[in-house]
Amino acid sequence: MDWLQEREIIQAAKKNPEVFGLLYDKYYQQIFNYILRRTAEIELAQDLTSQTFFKALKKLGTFRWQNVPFSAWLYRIATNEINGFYRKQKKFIKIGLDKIPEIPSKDNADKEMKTAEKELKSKKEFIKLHQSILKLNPIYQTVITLRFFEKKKISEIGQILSRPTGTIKSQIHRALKELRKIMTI
Amino acid sequence: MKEEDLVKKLENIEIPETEIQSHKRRLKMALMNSDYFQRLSFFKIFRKYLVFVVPALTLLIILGITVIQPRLIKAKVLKLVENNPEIRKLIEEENMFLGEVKVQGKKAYVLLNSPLPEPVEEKTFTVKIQESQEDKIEEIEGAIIEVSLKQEKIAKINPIKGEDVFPLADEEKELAKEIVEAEEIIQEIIPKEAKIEKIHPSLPKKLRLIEKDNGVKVVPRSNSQKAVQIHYIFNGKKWVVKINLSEKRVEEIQYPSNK
Repeated sequence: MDWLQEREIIQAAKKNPEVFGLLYDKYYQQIFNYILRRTAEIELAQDLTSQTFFKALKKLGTFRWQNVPFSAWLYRIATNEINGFYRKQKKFIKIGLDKIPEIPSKDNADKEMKTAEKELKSKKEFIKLHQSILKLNPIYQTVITLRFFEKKKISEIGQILSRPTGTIKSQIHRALKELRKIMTI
Repeated sequence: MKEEDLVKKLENIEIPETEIQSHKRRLKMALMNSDYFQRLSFFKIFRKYLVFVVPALTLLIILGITVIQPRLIKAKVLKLVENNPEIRKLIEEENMFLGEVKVQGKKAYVLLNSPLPEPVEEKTFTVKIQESQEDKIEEIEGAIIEVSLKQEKIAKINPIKGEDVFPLADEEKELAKEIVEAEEIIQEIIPKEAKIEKIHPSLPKKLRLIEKDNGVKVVPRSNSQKAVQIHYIFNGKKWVVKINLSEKRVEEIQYPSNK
């Protein structure tokens, strides 16, 4: 999808839930996995993903195309939600998903959760690394995750965080320096 | 650990990647049923009818301000005036009627007018006999009733006379006298010794109110006819002759009874 097409879809999504659904389908997995890689917790990742998309929907009406991809905008919202959570360690109020009846049986949902937890736990090296990353400040956590786990380019990270590429490069460099120190301890 | 080693480790580490379809579906349903889209669909329907509603509403508001509200005020004022005992007496006993209403700020003005005369055949006039000397010969011709909208009561009753509306020129007075003198019957009714006490214009029957600074003014309607009254007096008795100057004829004579 080129940026022109995406721009038209976003305009349509502002008024049409079906079109918004298409955008959601396209970006849900990306955002969920990003949050999962930042938090290393399945349930927390689900909650923060819900939070991210509800916030995106709320702000969609005022979204103005400024040559920044929609995905970058979503990543930005997700990043803010993650950082906000760790800053306040607040208890999340689940956003009304309980009001929507579960479509598959509860057994299926539990099964899926268990599979996901298993999948996460199998990534032992990642879990260990994540413990060290969590000790970095939020900006460093973000740039490390986006650069190495999300495989984003420096320019893309700059768009997500609304910072010049020079700043992003130096932040990544400082984050790596800090991480090395933590991992050596 | 060297930086390049750490970079290598980070680039090659096996990262978690999972899918929880149940959560994805539930979240999607929640989003699509959220207030955001429900508000939009409400506005969609609302906008459909807005095309008709807005002009209709605008028209109603304009009508309300320009037509309905002033009429309601005028109706209220008329009711207030009609309920006044003094005014009611004039209406019932003198056959006067309430005419034009003008609203000006926090005041309203109502024209109280005497009735239009019965049409008479050419070369005829009305004769009235006063039952007693105490009876008024001079009628109440008209009045402007001032109403306070704030206090919802009559503030003033200002009588109006012919001179207020139709000043009389000397030539017109002379003409009136000539018209009376030309009527033989009138000459028989009025004693030769009777002297003219006064000549004054009658208040025209067709009047209207016009606004001026701090109030209203009474003016004759364009098709109003000019009339004059000549009062004769002799031996303590009075005769009043009404003359239609526009048609150059006597309209009425009032004379005292012999009792």
